[in-house]
Amino acid sequence: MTLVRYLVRRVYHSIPTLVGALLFIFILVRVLPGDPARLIAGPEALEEDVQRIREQLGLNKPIHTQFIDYVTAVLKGDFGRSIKFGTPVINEILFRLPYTIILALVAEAIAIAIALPLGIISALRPKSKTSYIASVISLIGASTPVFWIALILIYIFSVSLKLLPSSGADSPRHIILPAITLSLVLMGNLTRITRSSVIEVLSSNHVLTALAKGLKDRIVITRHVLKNALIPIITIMGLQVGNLLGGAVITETVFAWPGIGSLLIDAIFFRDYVLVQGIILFMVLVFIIVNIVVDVIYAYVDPRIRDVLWRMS
Amino acid sequence: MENELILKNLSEARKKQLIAMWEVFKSNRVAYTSLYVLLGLIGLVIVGLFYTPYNPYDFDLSRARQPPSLKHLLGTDELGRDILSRLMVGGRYTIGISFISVLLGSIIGSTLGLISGFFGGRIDTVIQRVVDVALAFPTVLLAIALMVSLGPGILSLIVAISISTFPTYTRLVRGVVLQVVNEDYIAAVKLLGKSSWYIMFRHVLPNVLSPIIVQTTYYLGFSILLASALGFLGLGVPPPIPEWGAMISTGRVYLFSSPHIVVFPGLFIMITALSFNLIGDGLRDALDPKSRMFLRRF
Repeated sequence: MTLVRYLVRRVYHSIPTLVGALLFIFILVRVLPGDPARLIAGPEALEEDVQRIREQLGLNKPIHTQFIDYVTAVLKGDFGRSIKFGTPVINEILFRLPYTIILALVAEAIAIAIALPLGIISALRPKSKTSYIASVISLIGASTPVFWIALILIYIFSVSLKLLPSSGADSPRHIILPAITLSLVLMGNLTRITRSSVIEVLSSNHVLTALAKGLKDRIVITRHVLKNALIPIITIMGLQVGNLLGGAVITETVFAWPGIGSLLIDAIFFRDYVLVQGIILFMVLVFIIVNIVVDVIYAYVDPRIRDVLWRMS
Repeated sequence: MENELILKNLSEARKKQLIAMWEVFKSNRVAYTSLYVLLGLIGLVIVGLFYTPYNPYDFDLSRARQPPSLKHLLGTDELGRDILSRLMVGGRYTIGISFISVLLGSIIGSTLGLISGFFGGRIDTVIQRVVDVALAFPTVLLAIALMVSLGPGILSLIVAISISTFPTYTRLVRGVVLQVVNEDYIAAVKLLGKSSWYIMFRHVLPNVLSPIIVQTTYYLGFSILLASALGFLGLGVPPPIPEWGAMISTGRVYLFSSPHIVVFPGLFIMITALSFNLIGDGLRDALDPKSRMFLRRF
């Protein structure tokens, strides 16, 4: 029960942020140069047509009424109609969303599979070759442009070796290169956090006690170190979703992967501002929700935090 | 008289401290080398202000897409323009924009953090709400959204990157201020009747300077990547300006036949960002003795 109460409280506290984000996205589109109605109607449209579109979109109303209309519509799940396709924006997003989810999951899986062992080993054996590889990987993750890595991978695997397709999403093989690219964005950070988190737990008193009791290293590490080290790693995963979304925009664009990231860039070049607005809002909502979920998991797995938080709520 | 002596000793001590920090930084060979690599790159960009081997905008299709040679050290691009010359000129945009925007972001963000932590109350709430909203956007997405709204251009890029970077500074600085603000020496200066702004900048700010400097170095690396990514997506500096990310974007069509058009600008971006990150690591160790001890222990 307390868990539910904490969740409710956490959601309640993110309402101001949500309203702020809505306002920000709303303003972004209003300050665009030019008249949105004119943009939609096209350069050759008659003044009456422009006027009609203006009324349809509610652009003739006072600005605060427009904002309230916008928020009410969003709450009903209505993100507006795409200018380019004429379909509801939410349909366009939901149609493309599975591709982004699959890409993100595969990338995250690759990142975890490599970063966790690498981070743990490099914390336990700081002078080893693995530790060296780990620091190189986290440096590459922090210093290489994603789009460039993507192009280099295409050159190696598609152009030179002719092993993998470079664009589209027609077969399972198409996901390999974009997923590797996206995983590189996440891997560096994840390796570094895992490493420092394990190091921190290693120096804590309860691990010293366990070692002093004469427990075997292996047992101390699996039972005492890793379990505690996972907590900061979970937190960072929430923040990683931000990198994942940002990285997806770039990766999907390079590989022509039909997810919502490439949809965003297409929408920008179609000047389909309703669609742009919808996708940005959707991504921000995902980011906010994921962070709420992560906070709750975080509170749930760490008894020290759980007790404090639950007593408060 | 006595006061002057104390002040003199104090400034001597500061000088000694700075020298000690420099020694620690120098002992980190990787960071020290990176500093020289970075200075070399910046030197190349500065030379580019006055001299380039070829005119970076002069196109000649008869020499298009030539691989690196003695005549064109890094080859020519799809329009026959000399890539080295373009990189030398493009650097002032990629590096310059990152520099100005991170500087702006750090100044605005830190000042807001100081105000937020020092005054507390309603102003703190307002600033924290704004920061919450900014942090609710994934950084790259926030920058993209701002670029769409502001339209392409150098000024828009500076605004977009500084808005994307300021909230971290506000959080960072506010946290340290909250720790410091109840210390005795702050109470003592307050009793002396100094103004809040004086205390904030003279006595509180020095406490947060080290983390701000380290964060700024990392962000310089990050914003190079961000600026070039926006350039690559076609949302950055408009052509024909040879911003490094934009160069990769136009060159990618020829990836199959002439990969060097894409490879060299990418290497320049990577080396710049890498240098900033490695220098950041060195600075962190030099400026924060605690983290150094921590790192040495393991």
